[in-house]
Parts: sequence; C-alpha cells; structure tokens
Amino acid sequence: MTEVWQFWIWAGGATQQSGSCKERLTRSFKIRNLKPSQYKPSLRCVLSLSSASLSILFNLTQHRYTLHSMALPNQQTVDYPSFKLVIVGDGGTGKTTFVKRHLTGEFEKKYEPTIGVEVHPLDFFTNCGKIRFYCWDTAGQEKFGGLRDGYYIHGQCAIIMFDVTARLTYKNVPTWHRDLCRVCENIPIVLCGNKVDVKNRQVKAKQVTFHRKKNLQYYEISAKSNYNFEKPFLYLARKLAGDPNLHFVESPALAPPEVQIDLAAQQQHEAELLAAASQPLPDDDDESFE
Amino acid sequence: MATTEPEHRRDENDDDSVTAEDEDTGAQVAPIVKLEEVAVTTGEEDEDPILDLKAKLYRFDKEGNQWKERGGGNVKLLKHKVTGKVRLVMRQSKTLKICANHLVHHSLTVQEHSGNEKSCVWHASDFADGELKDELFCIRFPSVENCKAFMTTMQEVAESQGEGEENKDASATADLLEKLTVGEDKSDEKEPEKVQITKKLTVGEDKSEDEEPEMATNTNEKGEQDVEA
Repeated sequence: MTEVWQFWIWAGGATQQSGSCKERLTRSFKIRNLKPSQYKPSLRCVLSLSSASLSILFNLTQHRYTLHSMALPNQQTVDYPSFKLVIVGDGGTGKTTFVKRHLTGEFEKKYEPTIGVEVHPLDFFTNCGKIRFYCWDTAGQEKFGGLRDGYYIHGQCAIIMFDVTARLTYKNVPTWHRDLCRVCENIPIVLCGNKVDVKNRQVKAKQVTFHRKKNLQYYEISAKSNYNFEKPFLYLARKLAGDPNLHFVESPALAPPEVQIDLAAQQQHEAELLAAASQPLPDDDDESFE
Repeated sequence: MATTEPEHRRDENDDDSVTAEDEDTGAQVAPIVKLEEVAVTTGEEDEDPILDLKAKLYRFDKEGNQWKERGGGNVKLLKHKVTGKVRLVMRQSKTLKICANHLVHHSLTVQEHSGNEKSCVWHASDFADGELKDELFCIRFPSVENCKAFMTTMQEVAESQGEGEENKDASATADLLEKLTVGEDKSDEKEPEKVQITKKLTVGEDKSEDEEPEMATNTNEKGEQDVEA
C-alpha cells in the first residue's frame, strides 16, 4: 500500500483573526488525508504521524499560524535503514511522475501539480539489506509552494530535477540548489535532467555544467522510457552507506498462499477480463523493452 | 527492436561530451550508516524455471478503466522441486523489484489481447506486495512467437495443475474411506482406553475438590492480614 501525506497553506487564511481558534486553524492550512479529529487546534500542539516519520508543529505567533514540518532523524519507523530524500525542481519537470514510476511502475501522462508536498516511502533491496527512502516530493510551482524550504529540514539526501526540453528549468537549478544547501549542509545531491526521450531537446548534454562546479552527481534520465531511472537512488544509497560497491538485488519472492476459487467470482473476473482485453495498452506504439 | 537510450546519445552528428555513465563527480559526503553485506535470498532457490522471457507487464485500473504499466523485465514460470506447484514471478529490470507473483491455478485462462498479437491477458490473485490482491494482467512481448510460447506454456501448466488437484482429491477421498473402515474394525479395542481416560478425569476432579479448602483458608488468612494492616 502506498502511503501519502499532503500539506499546504492557504494564502491569506493565516492572517484572518475572525472566528474561533479552530476555524482559523482550519482556514490556515488544509491537511489532506487527516480527519479534523486527528489534529487538535490549540495555542501550540504537536501532531505526530509515526508511519511517515513525520511531525508537524503548529505555532501561534502574533495571530499568525506557521507550520514547521520535519522528519525526525532518530525516529525509525521501520527496522531497517531509512533516509529522508527531498526532491525539488521547477513545476512540470517530472518529479511526481518519476516517484510514481518507482512506486507503482506506471507512467502518468496527465499533469496534476503537486500542492505543498507528498511523502512516499520507497523501498529498495540491496546486497547490504533493505533500505527505505522517504521521498518528499515537493511542489515546483511557486503558487503551490506551501512551506517551501520548510520541507527540507532534516533532509539526508536530495534530487534536483530539470527538464531537458525546457531551458528555464535548468536556469533555475542554482536557485533550488542554494535554497536546499541553506537548510541541508553537505548532503549527497543528484542533478537529474529528465525527459531525454523527447526528440526536440533544448538543453544539450554539453550545456549541463552546474554539477561540476558544485560537486553534484548528474544523470540524464527518462521517467517515460525508464532510461537511468534507478541511477539516482543507487548513487544516493552508495553515498549514504559509504559503499561504492552497493548494488540492488532481487527482492525475495515469497511463496503465494493457496487461494480458494469461487465459481461466481471466477465468472465475474472472466467478464471483467473480456472488457479489459478490448482496452488499448498505454504505449502500444512503443517497441522498447528494458 | 528500439533501444531505450535517449535520442541525443544515438545521434552521430551530436558532439555533446557526455559524462561517463557512472562517473562520480567527487562529492565528499560522510556516510550516515554502516551497512554490512548480507546473504541474498531470492525465494526461488527451490524452484526450476520452465520459462524465462523479456516482457512488459500491465495491470488494469478498474477506476480509470485503463491499463497501467507495472514494470518491464523478465517474466518467469517457476516449478517447485518438491510440491510441483508452478508460479509466475516477474521482476522490474534494474531495481529487481517484484511486479507479479502468483500461483498458476487449473482455472487460469490466458486470452489474447484484442488488437495486439504480441500481448495477452489473464486474471490472478497476485502476491507481489505481500498480500493477495485480485489483478487483471496484460503482458506484452517483443515478438508474436514469444507471446504464443507464453500462452501455450501457461495453458499447459494450468491444465497439469488441474490434473494434479484431481489426483489429490481422489487420493484424499480414498484415504478418508480407508480410515473409516479401519475405524470400524478397531472400535472395540479402543473402548477400554476411553473408559480409562474418563476415570482419570474424575480422579482429577476429586483432587481439585481436596485442594479447594486450602485455597479458602489462604484467602481467609489474607483477609485477616488486610484488616490488621
């Protein structure tokens, strides 16, 4: 199951002083996937989401609510190593698509801008055991920025993404890098030039030089064709573990339990299958096989 | 067959100086965990591969009424050396994560995907994420031949699993009948044992009755102590 948490601030709502404390708090920021009963409006209250290794602190200062969000560094929610990975870059560069590709295997064609941040746990099996990245997929569009660099607190590694088909997204890389490094000092960072599958490329490989000045690792990737899609995670895992020979291994394929076949259910599945068989595959024209 | 390599790398006229794929740019970062190498178990050690083909797997999203990619890699049919059970296991290439993991049952039917001879569809109770989930799968191969080979093998395996289950049912029924007849013959011999057990139980009951007064006195003593305190 994929776990997702989203946070964002409603612009303007925070400064309104009318209504009760609870009303002002609810107007100030929406918290998706949390019922109102799960957060308690008060002058200063802490909400812990242990499953996301996440805590949110609400502060009331001069009639203004500010939201501080952090991944607690010592609060392991799994019994194997986990790391907070921050993914930043301009809107539309493919950050969410890249994360979703790793989570479910699908390639999402539809663009829905991320609002605030989405946190996804992503597991990998290595020759040194299982590891987890908590991927903080942040909003690229300024109007949906939410806490912006507030999401970077306790970040242990990062990915800066740009789109090789849009020059402006590469021009903004230094800004993303500067904001990130102000909060997270000396963490491994990967610069990713996404959408290299597109023919009409605007940012050529020889024009990408920023990583050399700042000692970042650079990978050309494609979330669409899966080109180099594992490389950023592999590099970060190697750096975090201090092991250049670390590599991904087969995840154990557990023996599936026996299933009792129900005749009625089987007939229903056959009907569904018949309908599904008439639907086209998303990339039927694509002849590439990884 | 087209490669997944991006356009600019295949363009001979492009004079881009591309960094070597795994060239480390030399960022000095202190490691934050110390990881020891562990023994790797795939879970496939007791199985033999019947089939191993490169393919792309899709799952049907009922809400969106569309096929969604699950992963590209090698699809394998694995037969257990002891039980003879066959399962389908597919892993995503490069990350080696499991895309599909399900038993091939006698009721499993593989159908052609309409409009594409290189792909086929089926239903399964998938265990890829460690919990059973009903999935509609579609798999696409680089060639029609591979697709046909997959469909044929799957169908053959499903039929053989059916025969196996029928044989199991027959032998199980035979065993039950045998036990029933044996039970009738030996019923007279076993009766004394039953009597003995009953006696033991009654003896046990007597014992517990003997012990009860002791417990009562203890309680009384405790009660008195409590009062004193």
